Amino acid sequence: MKNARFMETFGLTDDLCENTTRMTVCGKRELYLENYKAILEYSEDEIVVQMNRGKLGILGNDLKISYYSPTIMKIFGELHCIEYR
Amino acid sequence: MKLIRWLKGYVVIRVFTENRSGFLNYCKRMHIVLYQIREETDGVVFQVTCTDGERIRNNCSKNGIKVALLEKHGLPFFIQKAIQYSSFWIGLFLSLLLLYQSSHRIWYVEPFGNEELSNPELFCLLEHYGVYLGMPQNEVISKQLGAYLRNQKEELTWVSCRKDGTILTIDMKENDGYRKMDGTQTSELDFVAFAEGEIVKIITKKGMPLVKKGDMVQKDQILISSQVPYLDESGTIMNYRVVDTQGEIWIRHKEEERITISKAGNEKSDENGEKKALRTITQERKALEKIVAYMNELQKKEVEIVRKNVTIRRNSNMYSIELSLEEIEGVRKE
Repeated sequence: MKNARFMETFGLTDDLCENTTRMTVCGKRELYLENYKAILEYSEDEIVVQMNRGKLGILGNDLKISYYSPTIMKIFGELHCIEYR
Repeated sequence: MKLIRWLKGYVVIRVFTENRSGFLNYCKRMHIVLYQIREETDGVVFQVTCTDGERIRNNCSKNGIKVALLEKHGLPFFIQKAIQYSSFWIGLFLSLLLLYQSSHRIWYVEPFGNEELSNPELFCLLEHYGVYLGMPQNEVISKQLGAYLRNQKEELTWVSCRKDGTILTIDMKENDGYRKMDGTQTSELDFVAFAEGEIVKIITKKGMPLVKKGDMVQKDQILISSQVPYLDESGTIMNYRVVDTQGEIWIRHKEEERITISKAGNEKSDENGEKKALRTITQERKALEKIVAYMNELQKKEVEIVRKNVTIRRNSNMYSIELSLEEIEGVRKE
């Protein structure tokens, strides 16, 4: 709660202070994911990522990980659905 | 990014594992960056740098995971393969030779200190001397070039040429007292109007035309200037170059000629009418002969007579013949 007040006061976003997962979607075919914890499932139709709080499921067709580094992941493919689990 | 990867070299690896996500998380922990990850039935295929590929292979073999090296890409592998062919060595030798040859030539001329002498004029002089871009450095003799420039241009008091790598630097010092040209002075080289009138035709071969067809000009007005301006990229005049004007100009102008003939001798009171008439005819003929002579003179020149008007007046003691011509006269200067 202290963090929340601090961030509100200075107008900061969550990913700067609480290391929350940041997601950037470009159209229907590209998705950038930052500050993720681990990959739980990986297949061409579904990628499940462990975040700091909860899981993130990315559903689609012909999903590929174009770039995979300890902090950033780029997913390429036909995106259908992004859901918090 | 792709180019950097190619320069460093990368490999395509297949890891035979059912636990794909586990393998990916392992790579994350080991700070290994993977590219183009693709799911296969018996594992994953991905691209990775050579050093990371080696780390993955060592660690996987310790854990009993099978790893297969599928492809090798990038500059290190290309060179490894290319050195086996003689054409690579020939190409390398030729490129080094080309580099060596290019670095021993003049590729840029940099003038300093010239204000009156414009750069195009200087480059023109250099071209006459035999200096051109791409010429071998050893063919440029700086002292002789400096002396040549000084001889060619009297406004230059000091010239120094030196070679800085592939650049030929020319330092100049000009005489400050040298006559400045601003395009307004007249000189003998200018083409000036020979009469007042209208320009009918103008052909400029050399020089800067200052008038156009249909313009009214005054006598001695400059029609073609001998000072040709040099313009820079923005269109402002940088300097003037003096040339001997050449061209052809046709002017429509009016010409008036008055011929007077005084009656010769005193009229005698006892002179009869026949004699008097004879004398008058003789004097008129003289006047007409004068007109014919004048017209012949005009024909020798390049003159086209547009309109002519002859008036003969008789006074008590003289004949006055007024010849009014409107003509187009052309003058050629070569």
